[in-house]
Amino acid sequence: MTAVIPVLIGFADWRRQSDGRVKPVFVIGSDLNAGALVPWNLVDGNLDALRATNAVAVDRTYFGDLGVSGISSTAEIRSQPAKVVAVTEGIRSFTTTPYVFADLGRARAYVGLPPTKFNHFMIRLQPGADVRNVQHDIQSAVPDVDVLTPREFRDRSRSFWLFGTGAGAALFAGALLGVIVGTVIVAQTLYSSTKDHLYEFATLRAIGCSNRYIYRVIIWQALLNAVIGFALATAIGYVVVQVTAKSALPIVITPALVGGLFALTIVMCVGSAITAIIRVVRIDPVMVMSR
Amino acid sequence: MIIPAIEARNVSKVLGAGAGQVRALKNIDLSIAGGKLTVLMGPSGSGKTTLLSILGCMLAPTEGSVFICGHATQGAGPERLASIRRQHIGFVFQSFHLFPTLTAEENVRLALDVRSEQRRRAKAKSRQVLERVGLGHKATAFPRDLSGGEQQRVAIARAIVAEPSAILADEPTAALDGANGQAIMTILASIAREHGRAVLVVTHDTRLLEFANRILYIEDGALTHEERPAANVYRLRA
Repeated sequence: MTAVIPVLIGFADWRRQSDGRVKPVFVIGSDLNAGALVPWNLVDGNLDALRATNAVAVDRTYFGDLGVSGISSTAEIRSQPAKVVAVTEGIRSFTTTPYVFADLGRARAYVGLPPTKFNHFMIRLQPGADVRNVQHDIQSAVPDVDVLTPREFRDRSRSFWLFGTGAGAALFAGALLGVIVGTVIVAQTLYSSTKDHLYEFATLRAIGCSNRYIYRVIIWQALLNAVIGFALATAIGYVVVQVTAKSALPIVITPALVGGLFALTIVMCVGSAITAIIRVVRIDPVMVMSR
Repeated sequence: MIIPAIEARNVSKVLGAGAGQVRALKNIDLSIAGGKLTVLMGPSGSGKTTLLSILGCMLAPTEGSVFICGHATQGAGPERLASIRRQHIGFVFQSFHLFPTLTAEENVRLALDVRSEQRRRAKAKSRQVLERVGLGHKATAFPRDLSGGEQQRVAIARAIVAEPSAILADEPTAALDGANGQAIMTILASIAREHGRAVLVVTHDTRLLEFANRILYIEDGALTHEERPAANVYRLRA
């Protein structure tokens, strides 16, 4: 280990100067000298200014929520004065609670922790150090704390939001509903389109087309639905990404996600074709004689 | 020995069930060879279309057997029957049954597509057959832009493009005026005569008889007699 840097993270109430309204914030206190978990993406002010009394850094995205307009704006945190001296861009919370960065000492005062208490430590290792071994040693020495690598910390956070809260369940339920509704709609569309063209399919059967040919026709229709639907969804998704890029909750759609969703769309649409296929292969070609 | 394009042996068909049961065909024996245009005549409800459906492998007989170019159809599943139709039979329907969103040429090509014919070859062949039925200049027209007679000629082109041994036509002139009906029959007769196909036309229009090499009469589900125009009348059944 080359350094153990205390970090303080906690909730506090931010009172807006303008109207006195209170907004919960997530205070992050870090040792500015050690340079651990200090605010990044600064677009106004500087880190050194955070050493000043009552100095805080906030993200531009939350100006409206925090009732500030930029550098030198003031507010109260836990009934103590706070002054914006640095502004970041893009440090947004998954929730609606803004992050507020402060020096370790100020942060402690803001969240109301006694001077000897910290709730997180960042550990720096020498290059080439065995992370697992160090993790194991620390865990053995201090068994009642969690010792996590950055990846484990990230995974735990993600896992908490996805599986430990209603947010994840709602997200999954929404996605599942989307898949089910999408599949049903495509199935209905294909089925009714097939029903509208029963005589054409019967003609195909009468002139001797095989089941395989019919599968191909219907699956081709399903793929067309998939491509057109996905193109529309991609265009809408692109707009949503652009619109939310600067918001507190930006939607991120990666190329891998696009690929995955396209594959899922194809599977959904081809799966939806099954009812139409079943209907068509049962057609009696003799029906063309009756019309 | 020449194998007939279509052969029916003692074919009967019962339609419906229980009290509503009807014996639509009764002990039909029939053999249709290539190179001739055969007309199946009879009043409405006599069993013409039922017989055509059975000979076209679209309906299974209740009794008896059907052979298409020597292939037995008895007990064959839908896929096997579709395969027999694909290989040996071309259909011309009363209502044409063209695909409205396809051009005349694409409608014709469809019969080759279902046979997995190579696209470029299929296209050339379709054009050629459209020329043969006098519609080379309408290859890119959609059915809605064609007259009834032209649509039926496209349907004939579709039926013959894959060179099947037998062409089965169900009331092919019923939806047409006299002149167009004559034109369609002329084409069908030439297909039989010049290309050696077995053409069976179901109709109740006596004006078409002049094109027939052979006329079969059906009544109440039974073949009653047969005529060979400019020859004799053969009494089949009393």
